[in-house]
Amino acid sequence: MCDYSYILGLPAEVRLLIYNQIPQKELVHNLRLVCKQFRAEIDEMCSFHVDLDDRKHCWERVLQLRIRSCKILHFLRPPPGGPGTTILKHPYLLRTLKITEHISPSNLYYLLSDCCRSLGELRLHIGFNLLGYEFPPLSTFSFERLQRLEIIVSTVGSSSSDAFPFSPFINSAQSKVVQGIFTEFLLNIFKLLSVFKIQIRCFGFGQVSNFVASVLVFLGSHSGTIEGFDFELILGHGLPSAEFQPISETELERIDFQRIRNLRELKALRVVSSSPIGVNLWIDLVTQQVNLNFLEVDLFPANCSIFRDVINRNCGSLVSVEITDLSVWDEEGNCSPFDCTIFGGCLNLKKLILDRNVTRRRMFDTAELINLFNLPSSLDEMALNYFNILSDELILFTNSESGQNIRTLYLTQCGNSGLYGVDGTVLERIIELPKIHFIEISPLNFSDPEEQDKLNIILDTFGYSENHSYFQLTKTTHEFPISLNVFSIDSESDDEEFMD
Amino acid sequence: MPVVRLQSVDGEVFPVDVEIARMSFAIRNMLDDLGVQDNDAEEVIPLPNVTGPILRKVIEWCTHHKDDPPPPEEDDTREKRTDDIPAWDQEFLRVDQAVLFDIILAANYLDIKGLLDVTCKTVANMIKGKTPEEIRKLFNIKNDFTPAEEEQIRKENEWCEEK
Repeated sequence: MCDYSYILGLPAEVRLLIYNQIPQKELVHNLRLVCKQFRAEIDEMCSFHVDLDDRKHCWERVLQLRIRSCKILHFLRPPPGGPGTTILKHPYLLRTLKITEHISPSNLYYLLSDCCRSLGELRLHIGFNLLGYEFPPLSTFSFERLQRLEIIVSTVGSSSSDAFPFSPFINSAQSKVVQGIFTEFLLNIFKLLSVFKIQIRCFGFGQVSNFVASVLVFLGSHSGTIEGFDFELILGHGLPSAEFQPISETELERIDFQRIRNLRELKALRVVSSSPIGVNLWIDLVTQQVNLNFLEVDLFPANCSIFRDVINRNCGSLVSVEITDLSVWDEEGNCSPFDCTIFGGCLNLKKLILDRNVTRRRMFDTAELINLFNLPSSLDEMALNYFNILSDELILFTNSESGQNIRTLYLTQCGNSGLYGVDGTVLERIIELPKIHFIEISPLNFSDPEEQDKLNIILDTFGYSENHSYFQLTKTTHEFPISLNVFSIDSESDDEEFMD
Repeated sequence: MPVVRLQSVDGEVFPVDVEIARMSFAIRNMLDDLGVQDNDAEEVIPLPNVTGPILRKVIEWCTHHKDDPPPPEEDDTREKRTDDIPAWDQEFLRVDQAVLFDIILAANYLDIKGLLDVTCKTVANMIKGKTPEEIRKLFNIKNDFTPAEEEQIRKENEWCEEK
């Protein structure tokens, strides 16, 4: 057997290319133990993703690594050199930092001071995790390369796992501290900021006003670089029902509206607000856009007319549209059905999700969504929820170019009696669409005896019980044209994949 | 089609289409430095670090991949995958370790990113799932750690939890 080791004969930089293809755990637990040369090269050349938790005994070792991406789980103890000393051995390598739980003020301050010039992505939770400490100023950092900033700020308790799973209710004095940290942090300048994602969980008019104004001031001062903006406002429990009103006058004075008006060429915009406070500010931001690829809006409740112009103005660029809480009924009980013709010119539209506002009771003999057959042929995925839709309208859709190309279709609460919704004929047509890959329909319309028979034949074919009101199928082969036997009942995991 | 002649360290000369030869950034730079245009035929490029049999393999790979799109830019955030090696490449790289590593050295010297990527992935696949001892055995590597040093490294590694 030859004694020569070919792998050790490679230049070190080529071995690094090989190390880079090995999962981190194997690199650490297996390759570091092979020989001294491997260990030295891995320590000197490879970079790692780490979760930092100073309750674990080996946390000091983590600070010595070449860290590319770090998630702070718990970091209250001073660094090994003492408070105020360098925290990471290689701070200039850090590209992604996620501070989601407890961190001491000095650790936060020095970590950001050391890394702000190299960071590309920062996720910061501001809430209960930062309370109880005196903070040094957090508005003095120079973020030279940061492109993606994601902040979750909360002054209320939450059971949601994506926010503050540990967060208890905090009192009004503590809320002021949270607001103060948030406002101060947003005073930093992020020279290359491209994507700004903000989720706010708060309580009451004063807090909403303060947070919304701070976000708009920040947007204005970064209007030259931001291409994607994602705003989500969630009101805490126990609020009295809020009314439409602008944010407080004091807060309005902070906003430079001319700068906000410059923010017209966002590529991605998501605005989800469960509060009607200051809603017109968000409507203005949505309607002034001219170059959107991605639009998701959930404003309480949004009138259809708002969207006609913005869809028209962005028809050449839109790829994905999701509009929730669409209002088609006015105060006098008159319906203005949502006319899908407005999407006809969106020749690149791949995904369309429309949800009707459900706080208003529907009139069962009125079509709330019309002209589906005018949708563009580029459409790949569509979900229509809570609109009364005529069965004939759905048949026209299946005959249209868009229907012939659709791959994923969700129809929820689109009518289950009379002339509305998915009856046997409609379901048969949908199943036979040439490119359909996934279908989810709930409920089905069994009101006509003949259609009921048709439905039950289809349900029986796919193993559903008689008069089952829910129907879901996933195509399991790629043969065309599709016939009934290429579908199977969808599994839960597939469903999750499609829901994503 | 214009042709250049690539000469290996052992004197073997391979006529190669310029378009294919230019997949190597090292050769591309040499041609540019020499002022060789696409229509200048018969230019001889000496490659003192590559043997004839390995150069033949490299040319075979480049010829097969001549119409591939340029490889994507490096992206730290993208998940590293090694299960995406095309079937042809898998078969092409089913060779002795000595040949595989010579191809890696040639790809590195000639600066052919696609070939370097696929060969490094192949070696990574040989390593994945193996214990330190199995890796040593596979690549003829001597364990130069003392038992105490091994124990120390295991302690250092505790930050990275094993599943």
